[in-house]
Amino acid sequence: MITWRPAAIVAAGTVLLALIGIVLGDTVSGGWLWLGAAILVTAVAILCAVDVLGAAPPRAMTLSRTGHQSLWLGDTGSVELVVRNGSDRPFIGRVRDAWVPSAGAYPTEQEVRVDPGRAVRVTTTLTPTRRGDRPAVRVTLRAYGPLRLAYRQTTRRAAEAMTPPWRLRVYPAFASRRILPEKVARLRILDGSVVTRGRGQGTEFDTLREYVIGDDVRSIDWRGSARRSDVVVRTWRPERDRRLVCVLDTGRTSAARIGDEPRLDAAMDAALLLASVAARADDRVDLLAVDTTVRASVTNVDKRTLLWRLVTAMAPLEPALVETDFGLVAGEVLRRERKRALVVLFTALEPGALGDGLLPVLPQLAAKHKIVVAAVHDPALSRLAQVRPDAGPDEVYAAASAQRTLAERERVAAALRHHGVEVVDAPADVFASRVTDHYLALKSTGRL
Amino acid sequence: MKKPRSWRWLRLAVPPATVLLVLLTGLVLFELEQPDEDDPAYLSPASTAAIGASTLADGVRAAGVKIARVGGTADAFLPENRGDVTILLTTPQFVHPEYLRRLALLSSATRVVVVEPSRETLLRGQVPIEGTDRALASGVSAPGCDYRPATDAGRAGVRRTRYGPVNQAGEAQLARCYDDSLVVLSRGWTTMAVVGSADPFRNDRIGEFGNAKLAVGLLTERPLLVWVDLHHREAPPKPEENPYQGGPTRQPTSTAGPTQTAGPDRPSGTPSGGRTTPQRPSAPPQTPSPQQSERQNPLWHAFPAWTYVVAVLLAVAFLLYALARARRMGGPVVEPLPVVVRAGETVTGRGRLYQRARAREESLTTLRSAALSRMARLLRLEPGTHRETIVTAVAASSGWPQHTVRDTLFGAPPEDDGSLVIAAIQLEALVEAVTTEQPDAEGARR
Repeated sequence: MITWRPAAIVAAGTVLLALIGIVLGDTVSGGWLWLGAAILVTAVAILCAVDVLGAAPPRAMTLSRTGHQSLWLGDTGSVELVVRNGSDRPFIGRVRDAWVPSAGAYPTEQEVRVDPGRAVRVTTTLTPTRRGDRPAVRVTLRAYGPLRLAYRQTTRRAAEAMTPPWRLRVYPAFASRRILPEKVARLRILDGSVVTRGRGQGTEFDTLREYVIGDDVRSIDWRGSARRSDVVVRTWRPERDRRLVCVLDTGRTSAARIGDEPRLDAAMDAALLLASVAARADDRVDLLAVDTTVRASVTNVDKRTLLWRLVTAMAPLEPALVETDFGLVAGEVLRRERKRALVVLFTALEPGALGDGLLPVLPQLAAKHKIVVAAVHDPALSRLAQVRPDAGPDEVYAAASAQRTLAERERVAAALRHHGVEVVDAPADVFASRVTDHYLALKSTGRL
Repeated sequence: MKKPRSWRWLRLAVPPATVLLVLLTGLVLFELEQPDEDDPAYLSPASTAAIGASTLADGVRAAGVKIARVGGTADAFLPENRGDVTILLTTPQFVHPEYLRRLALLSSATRVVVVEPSRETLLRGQVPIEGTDRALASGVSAPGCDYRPATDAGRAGVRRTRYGPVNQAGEAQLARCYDDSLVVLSRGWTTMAVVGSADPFRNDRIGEFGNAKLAVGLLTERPLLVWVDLHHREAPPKPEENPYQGGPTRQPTSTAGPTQTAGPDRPSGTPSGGRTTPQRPSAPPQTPSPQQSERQNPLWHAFPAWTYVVAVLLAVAFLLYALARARRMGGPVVEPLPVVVRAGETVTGRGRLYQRARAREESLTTLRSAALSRMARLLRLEPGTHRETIVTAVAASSGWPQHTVRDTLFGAPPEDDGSLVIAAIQLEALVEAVTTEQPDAEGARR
């Protein structure tokens, strides 16, 4: 294929011939001009052919990659493409490392020179704009001839065969990270209050220590004192190693966009905050993402690697347009959790989805575990339900529809509460905080 | 991964292919329907087939005209067929052009009837008619002239090939009938009738309109009809057959009986040696080409020669530039988009459904029950409290008159959208009043 230069040469030749024609007028015959034009075009064609033959064969290049394999959403990373020239001619040309648009790759094309037998790194900066796996799609090479009149380029098929595969995993943004210190501080206060409150629900035996003046005499362990010839008291701490299961509903209701992000992303954010706090409180956290099949699951993870494991499992989740199988949810939870656990179900309060799916299986689940249904609610719905003083008929009808939806949601929540399920229904901006608060409240009252 | 085969190209290909198929089928059927001139039955006086002309031959004989059927045009120049005769050429394209030219030199009593000659045949035979326009099928038209056989026949289905004007001076057009489909002209000493369609002569079509009368009329103007029944391409004439030597005014031998020469009998004296090449080559005449060069577009000389070179080179440059821009660095990359639906979609959609169904009462009832349950919570009223109790409590806490509260909460269903809007706004105002007046009402109650 040719570059713009042959066209420029022909254009220049055209100008020249036009000048000759103007200057010489009728003294030069048309035949000579035609001959000149033919020679010009033929010469350009021959030059282009020679130039193509002089270009380095792009298929002789070998490609490999190094660089970031994962990023948090909003961060910037880079991936290097190593171009090694296996031919005996220098490769002078352009490289396009094409990523999916949401990977935010920059620059899209780069000018590269690779001498025979050498390798050059082409760095692409990535600023992903979407969570999940962002793949590199195709590397296209264009090798110019020595005169830059023509080039050789990999065909699509050859390019796809040559491209080294790479997949950048983009973790969810975890925007509620900023309120994590506040929640952890509340957890510490909880610890302290338990220490002072002594034994009761939600606490467990910690250690025996020497009695100091001021301790509650009722906490003196007489048997221990007898053994140690010193007065010792028992100390208590909040219960540990309780189990927490975060269940993400990735079915159709999770595809609804609330504010700027889908319901699933709000649920992920809340689940991450909840898991971080629970891990600080020494509880064990499991994750399950289900629609009609189990999309992701994290179980029996060490506290230190928990967050990383969670985000890795969550990153590629996408809402699926299917009705969630709550029978499967109940079965999976019952199968995995032998001990009593707190099951936080991140879903939507929709009569269709929950009434037909969840309510039938709820009794057997609630008998074994403590269930919390956490639902993001849409602030736009409450706004719709209000009739403004200057409203038109369409707004009144929409308000009626919204009131009806709210009433239905209220009915579902009531039905769930009837089964002993607790419902957290909060707008997206405070959702993560509310869910974690609820956990802390359960923890402090020992209902975990 | 193997990509599923794309069938998108079918959308582009199928409509033209269908049209092409229909056209081809039509053409093939049309060609099959066309009579085959190689067929020995085609316009043969002895054939009773659909494309034969035995009916016409009978008609001609009934009119008292003898028929001499000959197997080649050369036989038409035999002495016994000269003089006061009509020569019918049913397949003029098989006739060697030389004969067509020589026909003009026969005696003035000779009439020539040519059936549907093509433009090429006319040109080669130097028949001075310019241009033909051939239709797909024969049409019917009125004579529109005072030529005797045509006026006798009236309307006839002869309009298929239409002939242009008779161009050369000295060879006058005698008649032009049936919308240019029957042209009679004097050519040399003879009279020639060019008929634009074979239909009036065929057995299957001769019965239509005035076809029979026209055909018989055309062929019975002279007492002898020489019917050239030719179904293969003719060989060029031998120099001995040159009619120039015989002279055009030779006495006719029409007194001789009708010679039914069947088959392609060669005339006597033909297999003699000597020069076999005709005097004039049978190639198409070269006259049109100098005419064309003279008529070259004068615009070519309007600009100097170099402008054309520059124009062509500019076109080449643009083409090269287009080629340079044509190839991109790899194709576009597709973003796999997740499914995301606006959460309020179903709510607003249902609102529009209410509006379309004019569910005013239903909508207002929903709004009222929502407002009632909200106020009942605020005023700590038990569910199932009597209506009047609610009205009293709400009126007390909002400060509104009781009948207004009753109308607002339990009034008549709205008549139209306007009253629905008013009722809804009033309801909202009442709820507002209850929620804001609540502290005062609480205080008053204590």
